[in-house]
Amino acid sequence: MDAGINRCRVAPIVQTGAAVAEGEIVAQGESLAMHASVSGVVERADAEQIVIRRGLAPSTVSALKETSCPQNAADLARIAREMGLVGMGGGMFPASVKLGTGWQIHTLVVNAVECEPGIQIDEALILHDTDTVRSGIDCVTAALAIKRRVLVVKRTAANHIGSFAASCAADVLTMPNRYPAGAEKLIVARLDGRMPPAGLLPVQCGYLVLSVASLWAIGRWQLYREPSILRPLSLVTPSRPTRNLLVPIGTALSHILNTYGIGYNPEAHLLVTGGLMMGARATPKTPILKGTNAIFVQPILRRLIRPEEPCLLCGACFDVCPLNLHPIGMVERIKSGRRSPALATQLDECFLCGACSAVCPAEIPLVQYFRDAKRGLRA
Amino acid sequence: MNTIVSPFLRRGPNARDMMTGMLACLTVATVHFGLRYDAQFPARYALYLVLASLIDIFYVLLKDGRLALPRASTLVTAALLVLSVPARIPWWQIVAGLLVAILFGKRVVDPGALRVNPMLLGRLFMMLVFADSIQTWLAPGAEIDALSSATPLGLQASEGVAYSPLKIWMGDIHGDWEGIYAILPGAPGEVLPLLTLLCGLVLYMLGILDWRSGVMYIAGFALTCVALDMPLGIHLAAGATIFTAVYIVTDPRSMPGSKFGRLAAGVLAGALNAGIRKHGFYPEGVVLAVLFVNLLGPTLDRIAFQGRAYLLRRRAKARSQDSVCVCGMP
Ligand code: SF4
Ligand code: SF4
Repeated sequence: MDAGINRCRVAPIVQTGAAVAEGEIVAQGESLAMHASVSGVVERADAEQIVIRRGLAPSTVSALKETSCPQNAADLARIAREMGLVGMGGGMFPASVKLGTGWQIHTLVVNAVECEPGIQIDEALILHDTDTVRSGIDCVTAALAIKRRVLVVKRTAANHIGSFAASCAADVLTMPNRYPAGAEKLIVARLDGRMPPAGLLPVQCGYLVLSVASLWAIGRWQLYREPSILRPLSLVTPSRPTRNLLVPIGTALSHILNTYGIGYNPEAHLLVTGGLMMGARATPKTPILKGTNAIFVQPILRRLIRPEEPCLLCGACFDVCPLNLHPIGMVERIKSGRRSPALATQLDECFLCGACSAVCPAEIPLVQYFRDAKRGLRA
Repeated sequence: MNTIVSPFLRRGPNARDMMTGMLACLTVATVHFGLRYDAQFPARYALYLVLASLIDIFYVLLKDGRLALPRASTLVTAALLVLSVPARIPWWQIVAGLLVAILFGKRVVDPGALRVNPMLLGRLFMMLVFADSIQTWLAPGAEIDALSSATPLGLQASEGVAYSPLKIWMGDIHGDWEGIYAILPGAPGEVLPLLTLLCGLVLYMLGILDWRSGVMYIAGFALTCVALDMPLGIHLAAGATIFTAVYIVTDPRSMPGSKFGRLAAGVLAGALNAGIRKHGFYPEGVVLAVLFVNLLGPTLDRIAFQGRAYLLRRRAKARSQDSVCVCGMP
């Protein structure tokens, strides 16, 4: 079971055939625990997957004995580990690592930007589960003795969720509506007045950036002692209004599609989890992960299947890159194998937002090259 | 189908939309010219485009042995060429120019390391080979772009015909000279700078053209005009200035891709063009200025790439000297 990126490996601690109750710990790792999101019998438990067949009457076992608020950063990090919290904005970085760095944090940044088109789950949480989000914010602020809170919203949402900021004594930072305005790096750059260099985490600059969904999960723990077993997400289909759902983690997509009567034809539709810009293609069997903030069922655009053409040097990718990198310059150098310090610097900086690929009129999969090259550089 | 990778969204025009947009604007210019000056021109324009398509089709047929639709960019190249040479030069000269632009420029030079504007290559060829016909067509001694503009500017310089920049902006070239000289001044694409400018604006708003090289070309041109003490109004209005800014220095493939590259190339092309007009050892300013800048393109892009990386590294260094990263607040 791989709940995300580094330090996120967990190993199952239950046996096949065991009965588990909702909320029971089923896998344990260095930075987080995983909990059963339904009550039932374990059908499969290996390094890849734990399958629980829903069966027993739902009975909630809280794995968390804690009753009081976390008192300090170490406390909070421990709780994050026990409740199995990862970055729920999509990054799936274990929150205990972020919280346990020991850096002096002066600002809590509540990221409600959701710049990926179509996703509105953070907005929905703020509007419909306001108290849970607020208690999550209060909990983190108290534990880390944070001086300043900032709610970051996109311009279109500034009016209706901006008012939430007043109720929790937060400043509002409005970001443009353009993708990728919600990237941590760009938000910190706005707050800080300068762009943090590659490799420097926002926490290292004193900014703790958490998505609304993560804070909501902390709020669930704070209010109900519930570990991270539910995933709020947007279900976006072309023909119907977007729905915002609360889904047990691990649910197969097919289950959700059937429940809502959404037709999915692999020939004509694209099933995507996470977001149309940075998400991944999925199959009906794909489970909901802790970072799955949206499901998209979209008709396949003609342009997506058009073959790659030679670069026109139209300059669109240069214009759109939020970091002013030189996307096609990098790709040319990667293709021809001309490794240079300048290329490494630019590659390091790129955070794979994919904005350049999306505008390329020649359909060059620029971001794909960067993803591969970054892997190559690391390996 | 399984090769579809993120992002799953597309923004802005794709290559075909871009070429279609350009072609539409050029066709508007053609129709305008037809309505006001030469009713046969649109038909000839269409024939040239058909011919360009045939050249492209035959090339692919001979080389790969298959039939393929002509590339949209070929049509744009052909349209640009036809519109930027005087309407009344002999047809076979235009055909020769088309052949050079499409076969040599687009098929031989373009995929290689050189990035030059194929349409300008065609014009360069016409300029060198058919110099005679250009000579007789142009009023002798004029200091302006010969092929592109036997314009009021030329007439004014050589024959003392009066002009009004405002009238030229409006494409009102029916002047006193018309009765005296049996020529139609200006190339079809260049006679109505106002229309060209409008088309450029529309193309920019559709995301088809980048503003940088065009605006910088005009800036470089204007500054050089002022510096060299040339009459700015007439030089901006007449000749190929606006046409070049909108359609030629914005040609994606042959200009640098980076923002810095475009700004620099634009200024350079503008300044060179104005300079050549002033100290014209050769009357064709646009072709030489832009071709020269085309050759510099890859270098400018390389400088920009290195420069960006240098700035990023310097920033990272400055930050790491901030000791334990106390950005903003303590
Ligand atoms: S957007 Fe695509 S075609 Fe345009 S310069 Fe970048 S890579 Fe080339
Ligand atoms: S993916 Fe493209 S647009 Fe995004 S940061 Fe990297 S180079 Fe820039």
